[in-house]
Amino acid sequence: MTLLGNFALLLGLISAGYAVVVGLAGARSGREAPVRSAEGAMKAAAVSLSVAAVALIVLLLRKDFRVEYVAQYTSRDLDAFYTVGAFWAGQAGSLLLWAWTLALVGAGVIFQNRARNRDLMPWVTVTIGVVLVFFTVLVTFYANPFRTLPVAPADGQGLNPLLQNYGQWVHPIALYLGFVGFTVPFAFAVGALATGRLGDRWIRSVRRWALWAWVLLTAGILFGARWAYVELGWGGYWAWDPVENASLLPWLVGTAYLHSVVVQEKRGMLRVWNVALAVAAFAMSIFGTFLTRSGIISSVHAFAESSMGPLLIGFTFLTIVVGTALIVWRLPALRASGRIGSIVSREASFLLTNLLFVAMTIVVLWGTIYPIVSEAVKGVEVSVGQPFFNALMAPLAIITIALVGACPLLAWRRVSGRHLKRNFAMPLSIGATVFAALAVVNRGDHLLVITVLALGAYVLATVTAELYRGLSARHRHHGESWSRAILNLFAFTPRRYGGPIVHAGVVIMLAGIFFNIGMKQEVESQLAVGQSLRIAGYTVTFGDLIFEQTETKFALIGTFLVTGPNGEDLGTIRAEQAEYTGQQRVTEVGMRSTIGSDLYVVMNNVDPTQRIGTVLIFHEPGVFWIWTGMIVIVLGGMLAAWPWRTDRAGRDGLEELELPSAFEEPEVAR
Amino acid sequence: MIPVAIAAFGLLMVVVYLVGRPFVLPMRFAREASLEQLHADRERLRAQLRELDMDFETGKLAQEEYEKLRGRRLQQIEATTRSIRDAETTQQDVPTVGALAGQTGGASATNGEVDETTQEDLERELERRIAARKHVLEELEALACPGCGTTIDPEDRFCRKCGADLATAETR
Repeated sequence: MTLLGNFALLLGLISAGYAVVVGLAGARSGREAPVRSAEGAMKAAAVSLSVAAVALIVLLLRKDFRVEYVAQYTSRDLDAFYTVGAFWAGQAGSLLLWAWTLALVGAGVIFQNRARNRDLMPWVTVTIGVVLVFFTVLVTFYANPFRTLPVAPADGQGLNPLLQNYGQWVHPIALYLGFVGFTVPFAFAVGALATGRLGDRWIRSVRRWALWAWVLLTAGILFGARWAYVELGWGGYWAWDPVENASLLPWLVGTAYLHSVVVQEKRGMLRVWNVALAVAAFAMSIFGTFLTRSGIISSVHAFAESSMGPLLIGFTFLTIVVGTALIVWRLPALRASGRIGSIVSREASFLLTNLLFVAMTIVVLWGTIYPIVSEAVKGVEVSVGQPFFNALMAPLAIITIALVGACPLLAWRRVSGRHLKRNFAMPLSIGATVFAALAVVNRGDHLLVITVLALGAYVLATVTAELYRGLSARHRHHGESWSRAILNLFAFTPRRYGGPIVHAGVVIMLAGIFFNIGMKQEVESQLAVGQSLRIAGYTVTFGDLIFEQTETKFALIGTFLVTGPNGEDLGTIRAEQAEYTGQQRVTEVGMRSTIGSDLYVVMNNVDPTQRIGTVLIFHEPGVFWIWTGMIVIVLGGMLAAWPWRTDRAGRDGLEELELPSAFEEPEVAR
Repeated sequence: MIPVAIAAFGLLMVVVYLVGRPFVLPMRFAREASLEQLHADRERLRAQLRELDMDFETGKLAQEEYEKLRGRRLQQIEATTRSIRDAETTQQDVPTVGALAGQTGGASATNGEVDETTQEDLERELERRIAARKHVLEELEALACPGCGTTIDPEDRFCRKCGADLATAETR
């Protein structure tokens, strides 16, 4: 089976290499056969890598410990669900997953464009091919999951208990698909640059790919944050850890890209921005892979050091250099065909959005690489802590909320005073009312949190108004029933109205984060059974300590009784400290979640004989709203990216259009 | 060992088939590709038209601007529709036209059979017509100022309305 795996990897590599070489020849000669053959080779690479992936899954399920990777990440007692999940638990498997999904995406793009965008396709194939060659080389020669051990151990080392969570099936996969997905806009941008077809066709062709990549990346980050929160026991969901930043960087650039392309589609402007952002989003996803996989930075994700760091960073630079060279070469043709007329217009607001996201990217990028740069230059490793990120990102986040509320209300080209008044009066007064009410209730304390909440209320009002305006327009002008109007609003203009929902989610999430950071409390103390701690009006009593022994772990379970401010019984929380056989000690967080706040209990250093342990309790307000916001973001993104069938519906009436009488069929120019 | 060898051989055959097929069996995709592209273009234009309508109905576009842009989109859609119709009729006509062409060309064509050169000529003619149609579309686009959408003369160097430099603007 390892033989088959290696053979399939090699075949995948050869196919991808063939696709690059023959695709280039086809692109230069303009002949159809080599181009189609290169596309066939990409499909062949997808088939080969699928065989390699299946081979690895079979080896994992068979628990074939002669294979190093299987011995490292599984053990006899690991159930099938996590055994298959061990596929991407380590370096080699993760890279195989990268290459495999990329090959599948490549084959999907080729199938989708078998009769479209034929001018761009040779370059798209070559670009995806180059990336695929790179990752297949890494998997085949640097981190091969099919490498065998001279002697098979009796049992494997087992999967890290922290990874034994359903999140292992969602978080890494969603992130990888997101990373891989940004290859498609990049490939089409290269195609557009190489062929000089710089109109909006390439953007429209990859719109759905880019949206899905973004949705998956968002979902991946959401699950990662949630996973960290419920599993790691430090009471947080985001720590500006380099590996977290690795996923945030392509997300920020990708978000800028998704906004920026709208302007090119509508007004033909920001072309340089768009190709540059497509290149940058991809470069950031490779850079993210570098951060996670090179072992160059210390991180809670604790991945092994490896020799492929220089290759990954080299490839990132190659991407940037080639992208920049192509953009500079095409600069005269990329020049905007229009000009931003007014600073208060939709176009200007999109440009501002771009600048804001680029600023955030630079902050995160600098904070992430500064320790590396500092170590390289001064020889001292410094770590950039949360204060740096929080201090810089918080104002940017507040500006984001304000922009999210303002931009979608502006009209294209220029905005009239009447328009401004009509659109902004209601939301602004709602925001002001919320601000005043909260400030009075809190007697002027927590002003930052209150400002964010008021801005949030203002944005939610604009989103509601925007959706209502769209619905009533459909209802009035198209004579649709309200229910029909809701469906058609998303089906006909998915991005226009998926967007506001994403915005609502972003604002709910950010309000939750600011609320949480501003109001969070924690207490830590050594507690014996029977003793209690007070936090935020709650009393948490260490009720009992019991032992539980299963085949795989030995656990100490503490039950904590919660009583409310008026002495009412609010149930129990169960926290756990477990030792897995052959693995380190793990704490399981106990939690009581409500819409308003979470009580988060971690139990550590338990002494079972004295029935005593260190108990750490967090009162986490607003966390529910962080998850809610993130789910709304993902749902809104899915609404925007959904492949609605509008062709049939779109045909009605348009076939028999009344054209301006002056319009005659133009003579066919020869 | 033997099942693995069979699987490996099977995989190799699949790869060889996928890579080699385009050379052995020439794919006549060009025509369908043009037609498909035209359909895609039209779908794209319709989506733009719908968004334009929504923009106007929700107050995101001024009346004057909206009418101008809408008029342009409608023209483009109509032109694409004609191109599609043209391409489709020609495609359907191929056997009869082919037969005629075969006769006039004096080739050995009987009962609708067309010899290879004539068939190629026809395809070339078809491609030429599709290309011409595309050209018309491009002209239509080129005859509006890329900045503000006002109709312009081909000789104009600057837009009469907004003053945009038309010489450097990309003609699509």
